[in-house]
Amino acid sequence: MKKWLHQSFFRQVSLLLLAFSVLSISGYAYQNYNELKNQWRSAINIQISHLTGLAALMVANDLRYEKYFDLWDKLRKIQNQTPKGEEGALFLIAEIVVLDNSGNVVGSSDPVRHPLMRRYSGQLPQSSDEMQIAGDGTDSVRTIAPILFGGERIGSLVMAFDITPFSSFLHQHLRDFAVYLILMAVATALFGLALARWITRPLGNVCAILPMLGSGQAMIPSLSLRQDEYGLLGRAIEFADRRLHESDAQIRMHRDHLEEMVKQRTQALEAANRELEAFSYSVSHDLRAPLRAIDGFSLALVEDYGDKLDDAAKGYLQRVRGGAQKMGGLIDDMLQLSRVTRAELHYAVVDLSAMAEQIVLGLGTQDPRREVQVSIAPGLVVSGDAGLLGIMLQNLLGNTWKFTKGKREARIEFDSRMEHGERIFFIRDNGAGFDMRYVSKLFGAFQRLHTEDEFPGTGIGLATVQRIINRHGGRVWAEGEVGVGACFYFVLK
Amino acid sequence: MGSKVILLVEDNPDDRILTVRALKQHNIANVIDEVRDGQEALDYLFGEGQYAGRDVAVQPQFVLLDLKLPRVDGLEVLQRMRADPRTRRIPVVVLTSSSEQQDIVSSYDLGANSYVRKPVDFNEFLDAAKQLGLYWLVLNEVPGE
Repeated sequence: MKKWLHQSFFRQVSLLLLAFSVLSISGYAYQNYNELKNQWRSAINIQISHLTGLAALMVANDLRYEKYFDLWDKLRKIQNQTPKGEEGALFLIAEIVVLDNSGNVVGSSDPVRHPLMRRYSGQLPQSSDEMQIAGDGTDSVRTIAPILFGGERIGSLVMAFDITPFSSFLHQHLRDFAVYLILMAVATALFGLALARWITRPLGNVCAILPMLGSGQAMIPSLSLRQDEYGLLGRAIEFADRRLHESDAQIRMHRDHLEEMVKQRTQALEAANRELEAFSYSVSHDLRAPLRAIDGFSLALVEDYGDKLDDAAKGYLQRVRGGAQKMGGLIDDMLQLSRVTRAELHYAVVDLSAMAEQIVLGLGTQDPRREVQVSIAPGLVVSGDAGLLGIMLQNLLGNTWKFTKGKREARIEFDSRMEHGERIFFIRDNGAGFDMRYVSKLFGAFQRLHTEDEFPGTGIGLATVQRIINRHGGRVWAEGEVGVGACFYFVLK
Repeated sequence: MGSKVILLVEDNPDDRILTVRALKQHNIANVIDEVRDGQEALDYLFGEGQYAGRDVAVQPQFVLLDLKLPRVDGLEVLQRMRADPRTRRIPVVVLTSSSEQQDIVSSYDLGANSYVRKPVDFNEFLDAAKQLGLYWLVLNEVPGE
């Protein structure tokens, strides 16, 4: 059944029309033939009956008065009277036989076949008071009628008719009819094909034009000029094509416009970034120069005039230097934070373990007197910006180093674990720790949880760490307990 | 005198004083000539402008060069020095105020021999001098020679 739908529409329509016409013509033909046959047959039967009745009447007298010669003569004459029509005789009288009440032949049109005074040799149709017809089929029919004289049955008349002319007449008619039918079928088929084509061709045109939809040039005059449903379809398609073309053009325009805007914005951003970079650079540069002077000359004072200064004076100068150095640190940190925010991320495979080892080495070199137990898990590899991740680790590990200063058995651990399908890195120390009540302030810029005396620092380090991790699409959090230690967790995308 | 001259090119007077102090802290006997910007440095080296008449056969043993200078930039001074056969071989130690990568790379590209961070620490300076094979320049000389 599915195969049916895969045929072209033209074929579907043609086949349907053909099937319909063949069926209806066949039906009509069959009906017609049958009716014709029956009509003619009944007409013949009527004539036959009529004839038989008449013959019975005609021979009654001769039979009663035993005028056998006259009877025979009459029978012969009757036999020769075959009704002829325009088409020739449709039936012939084959024989007429007269029987007495005992069933003996008393007269016949063919005495050789039915000798007198013998029993009738042919087949007798069932006898009754009325006339009977026994149809034997296509070739012959028999009738039997009672011969009545004065209301009394004196014998029977049997007539046999040869209806082969009728059969051949029917066949002839059938042949003519068949020819006519074939011609009709061919004509209908041709008509059906033409009709199918007429119906389906516009669809073919539609399909042909579909690839052009969107070009704004699709024209289908064979349809759109019509005033019928196909006309509507054609005009609708042309309209749709023009609209599509317009839409496309608009979209392209918007897209170009957007791209232009994006380009402009990007340029503006890049320019702003460059300006900011230049500004930060020169700001830090220019701010450092006076700091150098403050720190340098304070030191020079202590070194060159130390013998003329008392401890208090030296202390003041030390504080001057401390202030200058602190400011230098702040400048560096702020510059770093600003750069971290603006820098382009260049993703690469970064080995955090190796990086951490390097950093710890550096910390150890700066402060060789300290003994710290460091445990860095190997293979902590991530995808991210190497520079920024370096700064992040520097800050976190620097913190652990700094805050474990008091502890005798300082321990620093850097490892990771899997939880809910994500990799959580953590840096743990057993240093000073912090009060969890202030955990929300931990990552704020310039926020500190310790005084400068307890632990030096600018308060920007963790803000920088958070900025870096956020830029990687991750998150960072911390847990701590005063006097026990702290642990910083982070996840990267 | 025949002394070995060090040319210090530095615009900031504080930095100049501190640098000279750092060098002299350890009694090196070099003469330190100071110029305040790139143009003066070039005039000095090529005997032009305000230094017209200086004997250009006598060139400094090496140059301490700050990068950010008015009028003529430190990098340009370096370029000019390397372009001229008279000054091409004079070792140059660049003074930087920060470890800005770009500056360092450029100064090496243009032929600086070393760099020292400001404020000048004498030991760092000594290391730089050693690297340049100029240790003999900074030996303490007995006064009175």
